[in-house]
Amino acid sequence: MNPVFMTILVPVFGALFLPLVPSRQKPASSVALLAATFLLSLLAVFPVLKGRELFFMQYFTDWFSLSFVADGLAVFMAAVSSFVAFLICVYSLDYMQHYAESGEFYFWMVLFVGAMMGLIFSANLILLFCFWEVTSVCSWKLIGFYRKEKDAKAADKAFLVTFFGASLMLAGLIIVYLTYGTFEVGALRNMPVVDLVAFLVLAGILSKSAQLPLQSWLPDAGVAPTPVTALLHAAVLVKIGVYMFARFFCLTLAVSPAFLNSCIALSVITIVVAAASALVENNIKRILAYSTISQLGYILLALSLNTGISLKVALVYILAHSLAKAGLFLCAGIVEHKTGTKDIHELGGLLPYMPYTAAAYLLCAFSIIGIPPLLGFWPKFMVVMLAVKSGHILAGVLAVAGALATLLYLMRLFNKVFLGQVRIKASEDKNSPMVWVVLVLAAASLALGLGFKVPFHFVMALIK
Amino acid sequence: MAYILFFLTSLPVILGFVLLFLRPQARRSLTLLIMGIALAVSAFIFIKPPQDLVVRILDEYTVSLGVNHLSRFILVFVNLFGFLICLYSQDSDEVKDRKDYFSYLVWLIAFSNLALCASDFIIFIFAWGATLLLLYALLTISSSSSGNKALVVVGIGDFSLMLGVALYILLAGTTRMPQGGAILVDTPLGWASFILMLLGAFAKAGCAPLHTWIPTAAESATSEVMAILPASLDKLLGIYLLARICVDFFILNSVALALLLLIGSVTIMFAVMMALIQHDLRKLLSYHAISQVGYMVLGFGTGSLVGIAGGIFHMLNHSLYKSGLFLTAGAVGQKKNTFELARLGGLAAYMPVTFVSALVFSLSISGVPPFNGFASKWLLYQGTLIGFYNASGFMLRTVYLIALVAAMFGSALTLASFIKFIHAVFLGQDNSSDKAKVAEAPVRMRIPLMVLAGLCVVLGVLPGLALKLFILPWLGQPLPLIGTWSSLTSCALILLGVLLGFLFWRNAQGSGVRVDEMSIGGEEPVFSPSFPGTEFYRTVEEVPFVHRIYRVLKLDSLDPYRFIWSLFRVAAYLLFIFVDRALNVLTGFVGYAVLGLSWVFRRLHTGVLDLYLAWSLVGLAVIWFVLMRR
Repeated sequence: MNPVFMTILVPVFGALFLPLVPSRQKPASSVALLAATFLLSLLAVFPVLKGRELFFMQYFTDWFSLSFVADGLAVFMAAVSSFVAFLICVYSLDYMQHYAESGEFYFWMVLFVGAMMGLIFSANLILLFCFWEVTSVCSWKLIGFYRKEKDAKAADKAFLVTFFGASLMLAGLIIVYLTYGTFEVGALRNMPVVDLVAFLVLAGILSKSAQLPLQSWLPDAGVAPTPVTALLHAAVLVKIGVYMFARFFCLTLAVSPAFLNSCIALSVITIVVAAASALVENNIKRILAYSTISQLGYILLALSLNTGISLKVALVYILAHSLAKAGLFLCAGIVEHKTGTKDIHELGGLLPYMPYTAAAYLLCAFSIIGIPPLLGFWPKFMVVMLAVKSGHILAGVLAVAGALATLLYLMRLFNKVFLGQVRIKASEDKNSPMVWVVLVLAAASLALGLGFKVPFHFVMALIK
Repeated sequence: MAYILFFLTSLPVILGFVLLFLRPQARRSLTLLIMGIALAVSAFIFIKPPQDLVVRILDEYTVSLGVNHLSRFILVFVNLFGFLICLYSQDSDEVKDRKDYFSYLVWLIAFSNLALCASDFIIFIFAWGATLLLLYALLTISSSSSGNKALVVVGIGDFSLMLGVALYILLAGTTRMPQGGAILVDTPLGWASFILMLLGAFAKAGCAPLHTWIPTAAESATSEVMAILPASLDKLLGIYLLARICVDFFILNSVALALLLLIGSVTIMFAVMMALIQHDLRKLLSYHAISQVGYMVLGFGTGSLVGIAGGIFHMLNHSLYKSGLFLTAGAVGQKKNTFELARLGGLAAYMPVTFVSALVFSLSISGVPPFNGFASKWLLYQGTLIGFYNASGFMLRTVYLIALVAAMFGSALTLASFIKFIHAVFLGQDNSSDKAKVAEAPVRMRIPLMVLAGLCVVLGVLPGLALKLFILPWLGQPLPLIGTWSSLTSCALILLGVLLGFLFWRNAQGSGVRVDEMSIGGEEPVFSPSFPGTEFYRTVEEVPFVHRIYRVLKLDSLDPYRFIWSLFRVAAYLLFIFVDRALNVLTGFVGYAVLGLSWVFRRLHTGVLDLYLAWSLVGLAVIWFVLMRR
């Protein structure tokens, strides 16, 4: 059986069978499913490393096919997403065990990852759009998990904004079909498209990746349980947008420089505005959400520069951000879980009680800020260098200002939560999987930053 | 290169992790071993420089490693300081049982080594930035607030450097660090790159305006940390970068030189003035650590070969005596449990080795011959004079004159400040609450002091040797000195003078000086007849005009830490409200518009048959109209 096909089938059908599993076995089964997904996605990596691309294709009509392709971009995204999702699932074992509806949580989470895998490997634009909408539904259910009115509102907002973007994108895809008569990604390679189409598709990307002007749903989505937010921010949802950008505008269609320049402007504005908002907010999760928006701006900036290595830099950025942001959210989750509050003014002095969480937070924060020797430094420096080198000096300046703002807001968060006077006393449970997972994520950021040749050579081998 | 890099960087990094899991005694011993190996390897590199190593990281981007004449001499001293501080820390109560301290120390040396071995910008920035992280880690051992401030202030410098390097790569078209001035500072981009890189070097070295983290760190950091970071390693690295910027990366024009001269002069003067009024031992030393950077920057501002050589030589000398001074402070603090000058005194009798070392360091930093501080300052004065003679235009000449006056006057004030230091700590009376006799510092704390003091003397007496070994190979040509100074002769004369003075003193002692009881008309004295060091220059703040200068110097708003926070916070609020929240409201409006539209449609579907009939009729009418129009 084709590993690509299995990577999609295992989580999607596994999720559908989850309701049949007795509720005590559900968490473990979900972990097993996601572990299998990760291992299968790794299986798909090896042929690509050897220079072969995997295909699976089954035509139904002239415009719709079940066609999947595993190229370097796809297997990289699949491996990173499924790995982080797997860790988040392990973390949930402890975090979600007190909730009666946790069975529902696991169902939607595994389905979410399955839809993400499907989206990543899809080679037919309609198929891709179907998976895209499945992820929207999953995120809607997961954000509104607690079912209070504000949760429902946030979930509706997320769904409606992303749906709005997606429908514009669909319009763009239809124009592509009308122009070239195909929805197959492979057949569209290097085809020029008019700016209107590019902007329509971009609307979908911006809504999914929560970039300005469609960013406001992501901070609101912080009402969800922490594993969900971590999943949205680090592993699946927001990365879909940048994946789509890479797939569409970097690898498939040929777009005009004017479009790319407006993307650069948009991403830089996003970096600065979101970083500024993170400096103002007082809710841990909202701060981290704005941080995600800002960091995705860097990824989008890297992709928009569209020079030789920008896609590779963006991929390393995605890896760095996934590891570090998942770590930050899960640290925040431990704090919230133990103290019962997300307001930084009600927290303080937790360092002596949560030393491991604090250490993991710091390492992940330094990675996001871009301070060596953590992994986050490499892509951030490369983005700044590429921006300046390609003549977008102002973009480079603002990117650095954004990095400085990142330093300020992440350290502000650390100081408010872990230093100063103790307000709510709560200590971490050293043997909990929650603490282990954040330590693994922090250690991964550190190890890959020190051994920087590994991620760079990995993307070089994947993307020819 | 690969194997050397292994011993200088990879091995310490890996063993740093191992250290975390060892018992305290094993941890200390292993650290000493790692540092010893690194010192030996760096000495080997100094004698026999290895081949360059180039590693591909991403497509056409490579990182390359290699040493030049400047970096390999600094490499030796970085590892020497690492070794000495490690030796000292073995007996230091403040750090010896800390679990993480020795790992940070080892990593710090590892990344400093990597920064010095870098021969292209990418790996340089990587190693350089990593030292910031370790600065933060080492400072937070004792106080998180000072660590924060250092992180932000030096972080500003590091991010500036990152941008400056990106601009430089744009200008030069390569990521390799050039040898020998490549880019003119005349274009706007050249200026931007130059200034941004300067900020990086200044933040690290602690030059105005990015110096403010050092006094804050001094309030709480342990003496070992102060001795290794602001006193020695940060100076070595910061001035190394400054030297590369001024000599290798850019060709400076007269405006750039004048800028450096002015920054140097201002730094010398303001920091030494602040030092005069300090009452805390470590804070006093920290202001001198800033003041002395001014001399180095000034040296590069002279634009003359002599000045540049003086700047580098001063960097070396400063790291020797300033780390020595901080270690002295640590030894004193460990014995007396305080760093307040008012509560110290009279320690010379109990701690003779510490006292003599401190005296040597103090005389060195004050530029008293025949110690090393004089040797480098002498070069700096000459460099400034050469610059003055070569300068064209009244303005530039004035700047050179200002620099010369600042350098000389600053030196005098430094001497004044260190007379206070020596008096308050080692002479006079013991003012501490606990007057028990204290013993000399343990031997492993004394050895670093003696080594550093010995080097201060050797480099002072034989400055030519240091220049020939360390500095001239990099500059590549002999120094066109304008003054003559025979250090050996003058040293002999000074020794003779001291000997004569001693003989007179011995002679006078026997002549029977009358000592009497104090009498104030029969009253009991209400004050103790002592004159503590803290009383020195107490009134300097009240002198007319000078007090205004002090008022400005003490302003908090001049602190870039405060400034950047205020700036970012105001900008953040504006962006948050006028962009983010505005867009949020707009998104909400779209929602309301949809709801409004659905309200209209709901009205049309009330379930009343008449309404549907009416709509059907309207529809029919429309169809009829469309069909009839054809």
